[in-house]
Amino acid sequence: MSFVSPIFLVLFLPLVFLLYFITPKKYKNLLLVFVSLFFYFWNEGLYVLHILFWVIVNYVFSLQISKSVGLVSKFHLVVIVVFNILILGYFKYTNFLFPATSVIYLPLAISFFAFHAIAYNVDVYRRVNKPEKNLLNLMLYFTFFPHLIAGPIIRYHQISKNIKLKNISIENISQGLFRVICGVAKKILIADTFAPIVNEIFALSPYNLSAAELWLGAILFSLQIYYDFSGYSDIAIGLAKVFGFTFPENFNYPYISTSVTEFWKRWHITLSNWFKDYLYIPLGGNRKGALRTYINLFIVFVACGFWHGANWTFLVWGMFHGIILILERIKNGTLVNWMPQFIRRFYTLIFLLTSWVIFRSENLVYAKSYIKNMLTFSTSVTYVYYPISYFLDKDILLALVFGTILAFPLIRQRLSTYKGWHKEIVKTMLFVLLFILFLIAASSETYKTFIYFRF
Amino acid sequence: MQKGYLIIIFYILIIVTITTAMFLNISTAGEFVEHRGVVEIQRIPPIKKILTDSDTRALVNSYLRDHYGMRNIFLKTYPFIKLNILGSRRIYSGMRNSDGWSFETLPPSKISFSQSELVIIENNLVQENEYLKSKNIPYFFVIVPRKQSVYTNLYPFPDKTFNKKTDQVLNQLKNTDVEVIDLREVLRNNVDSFPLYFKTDSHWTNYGAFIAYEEIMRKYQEQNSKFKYLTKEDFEIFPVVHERWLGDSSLMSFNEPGHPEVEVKFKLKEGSSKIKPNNWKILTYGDSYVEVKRYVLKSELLHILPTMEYIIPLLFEETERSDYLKIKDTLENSISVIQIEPNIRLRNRLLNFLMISAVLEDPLGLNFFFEMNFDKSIVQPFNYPLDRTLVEKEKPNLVIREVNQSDLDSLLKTY
Repeated sequence: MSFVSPIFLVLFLPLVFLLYFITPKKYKNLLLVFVSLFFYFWNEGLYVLHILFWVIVNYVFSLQISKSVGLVSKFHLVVIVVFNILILGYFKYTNFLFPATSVIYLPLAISFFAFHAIAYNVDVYRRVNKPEKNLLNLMLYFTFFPHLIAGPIIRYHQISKNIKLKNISIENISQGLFRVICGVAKKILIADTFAPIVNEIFALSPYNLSAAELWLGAILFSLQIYYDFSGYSDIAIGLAKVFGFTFPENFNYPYISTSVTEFWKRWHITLSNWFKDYLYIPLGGNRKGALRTYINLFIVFVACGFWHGANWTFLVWGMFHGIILILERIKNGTLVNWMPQFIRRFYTLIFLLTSWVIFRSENLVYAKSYIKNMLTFSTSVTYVYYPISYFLDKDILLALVFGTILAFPLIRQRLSTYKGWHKEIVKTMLFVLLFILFLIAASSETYKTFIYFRF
Repeated sequence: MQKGYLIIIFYILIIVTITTAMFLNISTAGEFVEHRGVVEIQRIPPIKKILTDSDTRALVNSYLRDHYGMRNIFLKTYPFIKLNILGSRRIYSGMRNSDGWSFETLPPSKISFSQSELVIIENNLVQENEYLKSKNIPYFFVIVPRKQSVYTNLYPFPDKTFNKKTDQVLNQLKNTDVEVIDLREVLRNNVDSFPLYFKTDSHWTNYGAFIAYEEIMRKYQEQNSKFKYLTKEDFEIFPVVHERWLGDSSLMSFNEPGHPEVEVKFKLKEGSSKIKPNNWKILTYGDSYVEVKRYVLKSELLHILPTMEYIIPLLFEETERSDYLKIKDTLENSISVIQIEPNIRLRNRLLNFLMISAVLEDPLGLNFFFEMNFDKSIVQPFNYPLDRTLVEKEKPNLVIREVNQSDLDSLLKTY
């Protein structure tokens, strides 16, 4: 049951709403935990027991970390962090590291769950938040269905207040629903429109595509992954709002960045913050001199790449970003800052397009040929199978135009000029239109799984 | 009125409309218009079954997906918007030309094989061939072309990718003993007679299958001059004009009247002397399709049952033969013959007969004619390895591995 399936939006969600609002206050958390576990169970069956076990182990250790002091507390922290990493490693990396082993199934949510668990225990150790003594509350933090599968990565202190006191209001429900539909529309109307073309382009050899087609593939995938994942984040944030929770933002128009450093402040923000707080700073951050800062940055991005998947392409993608971030940092950014803003924006976009090719490619050999032919506008292709018009149907062009416009904050700025009832009516009309378009598109079952579900 | 109410009111309105329509069965998935058909559940599976069996959960998921209110309206609006308003040619992993001919687009796999993959394919086929050769049984590897490889001029773009893998495989097998039958040429030579493929479907028609059958039998006769096969002269061949497109993806082009399509029917002439000569048997690993729809007549159903006896237990992989015999009765009563989506179909364990889910889809195309020509025609799915026990038991006179161009990857399986 995906967030973008009609069953979820037409049956599951209204039913859960209804139950949620008729349930007395003190049982609301219990209901949300039950519903979240049911949601996970429906997708992954008895792996839900793993999740339950995982929560309990983290619950026990967080209490121990809090109760003890000094080295003992640190010892408990190290044990639970290693435990979380081992579980993540077992499911996600065993087959990569030991290809001879039989295939290990990667259940949904493992990567995000592990990061939540590490963040929670480290924060308890750092006294950022007290350990949650109520197991039910902690279970809700870990398993709350809007963020369970693919984030955003929430810190406990960010929603601990909402767990105890929910901020439920008509305005929040309305804003939440609107956000959900916007996310669904991003996913189904834009990302999934690009998906078949991207699949077709990346199924062809780079030597059977013209340079223009290679660029088209890179551009479409950049937009696809942005609308796919930011759409998911919108749905998660919107759903949380409906139930009285406030989740942090995860995207902030990343493609308008004027540097790769800025990109990481706008793209998957909760993941960037996680790596900053739980890896970069513990490694010493920028407090131990320039060289150490660069090494730390590199380590963080290698880890970030590897977190995305057990494949060399992700690893190289992370390294690529790490190297550029280091270059951008040398001598306080003198290598980049001298450039006019539009050139910086252009350089950032070219870099991102190139790096997404590595991310999307099946292997490094493919990525290398693709990037080489793309950047050199190579004419040495053996045989171009299709003219570019084959990939550019009118609906693709339309989605491309919308996708490009919406990647800039113009529409949001325009919408913010509407006030009072005008704004309300415009939003409602948009909501109804997008909902109906969603039902039409979803009925055809052409929607795809969220890209970040496999990470 | 407080701000925010409007969106909530409209959300509730949409949900109530759809839910009411669902319970009143208004425009839910009642029509059999899609390739995969719809899932039907006669009784709600017990909670215990839902909780313990992932197949049952998948079934319930599919059922809900197929039956939410007004789904058919949304389903038909999608191609309307996509094709007519947005002017797209690409829909449901297919591409449509201006005359309504639709074609599957490139499947999500590589368009060519690597050298090492070609060696695996060669080894697999050579291995089968050599085993059968040791038993004195001829073996044909038949490649069934995709529609765009035959109707090259109708595809909206020049065909440059579909034949790549096929040509590679043919080239790889050139220096082996494997007898390859490439049907592209013979089908291309017959495009001007009757339609060989459905207009809005990837499957060939009875006529297309017949042309292929004739070609395979001709090749076989070259090896066995005593063998006789049915030719056009043995049939009454008559076209039937339907008032709407027949293909199972016709939905993407609106399955409304006003889009006539010709279907060619075959009726064996009385007293044909060539039927089932010499009590010969044929074993096919088949990959061709003739759709048998829900509204299939009881008599027609009974006609193909002998073939299905071999198919059904294989498709329901984990089903016991006794289970098959039970559903055979159901089939003979012709209550309801439903196709369900392949991933469920192959894994489904019949769910204690809560669901009727017989499959009448797979390889009946060529087999329709083989059934008439051979004393016994045994069919197994194309992606199964050669069953040597079956060969020993049945001692077929001819074994065919029939693979569609789009399924050539199945040959990569090491047997």
